[in-house]
Amino acid sequence: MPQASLFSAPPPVSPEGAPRLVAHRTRHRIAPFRFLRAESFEAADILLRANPGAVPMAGGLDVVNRMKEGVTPPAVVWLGAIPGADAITHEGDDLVIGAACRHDQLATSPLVQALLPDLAAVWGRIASSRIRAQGAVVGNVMADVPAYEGPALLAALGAQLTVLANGRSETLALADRQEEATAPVLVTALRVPLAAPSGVRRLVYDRSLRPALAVALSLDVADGQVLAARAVLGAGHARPVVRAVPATGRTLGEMAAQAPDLAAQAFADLPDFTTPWAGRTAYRRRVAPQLLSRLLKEAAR
Amino acid sequence: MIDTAFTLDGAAIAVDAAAAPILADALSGPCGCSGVRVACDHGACGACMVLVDGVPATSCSTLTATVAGRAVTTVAGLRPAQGPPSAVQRAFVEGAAFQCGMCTPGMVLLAEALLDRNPAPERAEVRAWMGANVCRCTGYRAIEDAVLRAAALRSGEEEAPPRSWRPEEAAKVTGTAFFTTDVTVPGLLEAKILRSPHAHARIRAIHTAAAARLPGVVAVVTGADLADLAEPCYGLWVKDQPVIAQDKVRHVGDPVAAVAARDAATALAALALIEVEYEPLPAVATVEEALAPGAPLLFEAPSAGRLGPHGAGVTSLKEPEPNVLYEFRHRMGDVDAVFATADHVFCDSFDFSRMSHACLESIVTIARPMGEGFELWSSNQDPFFLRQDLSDIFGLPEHLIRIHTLHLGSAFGLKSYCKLEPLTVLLARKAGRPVRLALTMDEGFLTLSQHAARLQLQTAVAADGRLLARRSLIHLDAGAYADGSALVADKVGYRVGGPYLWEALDNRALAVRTNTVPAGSYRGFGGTQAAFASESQLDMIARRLGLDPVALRLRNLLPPGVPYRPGDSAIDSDLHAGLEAVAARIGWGRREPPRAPHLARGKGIAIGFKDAGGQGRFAQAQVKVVGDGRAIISCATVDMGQGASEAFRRIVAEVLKMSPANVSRAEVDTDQTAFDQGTHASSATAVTGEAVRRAAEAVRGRILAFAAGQLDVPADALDYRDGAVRHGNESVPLKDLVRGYYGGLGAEFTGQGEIKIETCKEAALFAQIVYWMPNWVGVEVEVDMETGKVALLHLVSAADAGRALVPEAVRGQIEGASMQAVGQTLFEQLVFDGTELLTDTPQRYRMPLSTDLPERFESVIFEQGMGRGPFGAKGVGEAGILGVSSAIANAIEDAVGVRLTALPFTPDKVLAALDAKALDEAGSGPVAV
Repeated sequence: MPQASLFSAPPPVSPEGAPRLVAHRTRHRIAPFRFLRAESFEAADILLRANPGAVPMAGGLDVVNRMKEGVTPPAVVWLGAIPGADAITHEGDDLVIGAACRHDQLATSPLVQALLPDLAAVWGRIASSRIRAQGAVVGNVMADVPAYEGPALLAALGAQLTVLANGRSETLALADRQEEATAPVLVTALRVPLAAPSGVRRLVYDRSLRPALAVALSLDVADGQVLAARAVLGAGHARPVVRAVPATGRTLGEMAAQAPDLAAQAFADLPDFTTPWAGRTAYRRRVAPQLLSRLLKEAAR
Repeated sequence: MIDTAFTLDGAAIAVDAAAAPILADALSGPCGCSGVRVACDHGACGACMVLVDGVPATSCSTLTATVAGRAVTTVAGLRPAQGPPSAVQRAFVEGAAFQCGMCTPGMVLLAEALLDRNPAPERAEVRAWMGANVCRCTGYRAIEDAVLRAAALRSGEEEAPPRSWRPEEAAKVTGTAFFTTDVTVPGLLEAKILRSPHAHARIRAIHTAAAARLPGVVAVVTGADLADLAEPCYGLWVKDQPVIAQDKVRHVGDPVAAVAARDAATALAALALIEVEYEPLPAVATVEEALAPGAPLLFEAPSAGRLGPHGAGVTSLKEPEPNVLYEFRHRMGDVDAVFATADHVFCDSFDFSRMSHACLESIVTIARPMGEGFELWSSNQDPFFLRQDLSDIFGLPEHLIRIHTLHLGSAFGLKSYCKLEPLTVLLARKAGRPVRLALTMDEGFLTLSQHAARLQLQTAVAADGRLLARRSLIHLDAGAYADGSALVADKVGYRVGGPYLWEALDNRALAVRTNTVPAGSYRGFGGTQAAFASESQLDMIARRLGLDPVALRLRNLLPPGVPYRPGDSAIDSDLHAGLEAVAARIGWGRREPPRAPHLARGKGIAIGFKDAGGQGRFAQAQVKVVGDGRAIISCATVDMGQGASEAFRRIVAEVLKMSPANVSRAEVDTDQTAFDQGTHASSATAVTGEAVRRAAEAVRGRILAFAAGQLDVPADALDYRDGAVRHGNESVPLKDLVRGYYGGLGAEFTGQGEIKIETCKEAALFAQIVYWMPNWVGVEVEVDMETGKVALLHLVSAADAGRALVPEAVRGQIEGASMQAVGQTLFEQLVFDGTELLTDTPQRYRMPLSTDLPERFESVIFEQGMGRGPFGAKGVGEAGILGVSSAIANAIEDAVGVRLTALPFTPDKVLAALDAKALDEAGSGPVAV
């Protein structure tokens, strides 16, 4: 990717060589920057290339927060004014969520409610009413804040990012983003695969133990048989931990009956958690399979 | 310059987005919106919320340029000039859905957005929706009710006529409330503090030249500037906290240098140019580390200061051993003898966690040099005490120091005693200009906290359940500096016996220094720590002896009229009646079936208890009746949302027989206002309120004496009511009498009142306690035995107001404090990794939200009428925080048979305790949790 951005690993919070300013994460640290309003994603790509270090912004909550920590982008490229950037569409086998789509739009979209009702229902419970009103889905996904819930849910569904860089559009599986990888500069959309016509796609989610952990489960089912099951552990890592649940080929009844074992297998090798203030790793490893087991039973109903 | 045009509260406006890139600053600055105020600066709390095209948005995290062409609504826009308020505003006022008012604009707008989206929400939807924003005061029940009522008002279902609003109510729901953070004066500079990244280090050198040269910087202050001060350190009794670090830093965040500049951004830029040479030193993170032999010392020499007096049975020591700043010991009876003959002795240990005040208005001070002295506006609970401290520090006579205190955006103890005022004054004097120092919430986390504590209790009990004697050893984690720790140690040590009859007591409390955030006043002030341990252990004892926990308490409770301890004041609440009432409400003795196999239900009960009203307090008040017969109160109680001003108005109104609407309250100004020792220890109603009552009686007497002369009748034949003097069926407006005698230029009548709680060497704390503050709590919990998560099904929290002068405020205090305790019990805490604070931002520091409300939440006000305050009133400000934690611990044991002794009861700890129990039952022996 041509430029580092806020979408890559967080840079140091103060200028090079300067002492760390303890407890001074404040809007008064925001250095002067240029505000560039993009009229299209292509224009945004050009603006980002023309202004090295510039950052794209849709909802803005996290971009602004990082600027308060001392990140000093020379320019912010505003995506919110791009016509249709907040649209949700049905393209082929995917649900396509525009880069400026807010959480609330996703949760209340008739299209989402029709095509992937679990996604709409779950999204209406994440974060808070204010964050859902203000924040963009893509911004949430790309912020790499462990507490955020969007990444886990979308990773469970096998969502892909559509990125635009140097005039070229690419796709990247959300679940494949690596901690050390440089993320795309400009995300134009999220693509959420839908179930095959003959099947059903479920998404269930347990957030009752946040901020320690949260667990999402997506399930593809056809004729009462599990085609695929994917579990995601959220809230404890910058990028959610995605695991396949070995339930493929089982009936829903079998899956429910074997839920504890399946959950234990899926979450057998969880990495250390990176948010120690929110709980001990040992506890989270212990209860993550428990939550997943409950979700497997719930999804089987 | 980037001109951004948008619609603000219905009117077109344009601002320079380059000059004010964040919407909150554009609105509160060039746009002149008084109702937009940043609190957490993280988009976490919602205090600064506005609506953008009808959609909630935190203005602190919205770029101004992004609202171009859009409609921005602030809380002021909900009520057009001279127009009626919105249904939400009205419901918030009439439902007392706010206290300090800092969160109110955001809460009101959030409710508007909900009702625009769904005009008839269910309670569950209201709870979930309103859970977006933080309120530190109310406990959310009142907010939830107000939103539901607003829905009814909007739909026309409810036709009750609106009541008139008090000025502060109108101000809070329309965005015109004025806080210290809103103060500005000509030529004002902004200050910022460079804070230590080290927990413990020697300062070798500080290089400030580059910072001082930065254009816009006016003054830089370091420890070298303390050389000319009369006293460079402050603290209550133990004066160990330097105005700014001198030779050492003692915790992460300790102020090292401060800059005053033309604006905050310049001050921050200057901080980045300051170089500090540190020599890191070994640090102590915990009480255990601090007390270990050979532990690193925070202070190598004794600190300044002098202990307060104590009475019978008490010994107190200043800095008795390394890293211990204070020791309190209270003895009564022959403990050894009683223990030797007791049927049972129980030894248990409890760990109390540590919260931050996290006020939505953090500490803010404006200092302005005035001749040899200075003038101050500061968010401080104790303006006169602060004046005395500043006088000592700067060697100035008190009359050259003038302190104004405005309404506070909550406090909970954060703003008691001296804090950063001397540093602000130092900057202002060096700059020769007024300086404003406003801490961020992040800085607040590093400035003061509650005391973590370990409480080890040994309790001797007779076979029949009689409590006989208690020994306790309490270690408070005082953090790096004393602040109010010595007094907290007094209180925790004196209160740990609880409201029970004992033959003997020996309680020691030590305040121990560690290289962590200083600890000081926090709502409950040692009472929370004491009650958690004591009421937990009582339940444990009852279960061990096979006794009913309620019955055990009823057997041992002190009845009204019996002194708490020999020489002290008598119990002034019917503790038995309160306990029985709460037990009945919680359905004590009945066990409901669990809702699922992995869930278990249990009930718990507790009586939190503390003394209140302060020690040996002195307060004065003045009540003026102006020429038209209306009244103005002058007293120094600081209103921080607790409702003190309205209580005073009602006291005066009752004495002068007029509507409280005809009574106003003057602002606090140490040059003008009647003296008061401070707003703490829930003393406003009972102590200052009594001074106000006496002042009102005095002015009433003067009016009647004056009228008697004018009407030529005996004063005792007259009455004063509704601004008129009455004699039989005759009524003469006071205004007419005044004009008749004093002429058209008018006159006023002034009455003064005061109260002094006399010292008493027979009382342990050298003065009898003003009044006693119980908190009866009953709770039903549901424990998830697979995850350890505890849910509150039903919480009953009760307090004795003596007489509730402002019932809605009393209820709000009980509920707010109880929800604070719920947070502390289940999740809210400062988490340290060694000496490093991990929960150091509002995003990481979890605070209670409306979604944390118990399924059923009842607050109960008893009016038992035995208070020493006006008309039998007591305060209740701290009550609700006292009993909740132990009641929940007791309920958890009732549910699943495990005892949690360390707060907070996170799912992790609960599950670990369940594991330990299972291992124990499997024969593996007890397992440490």
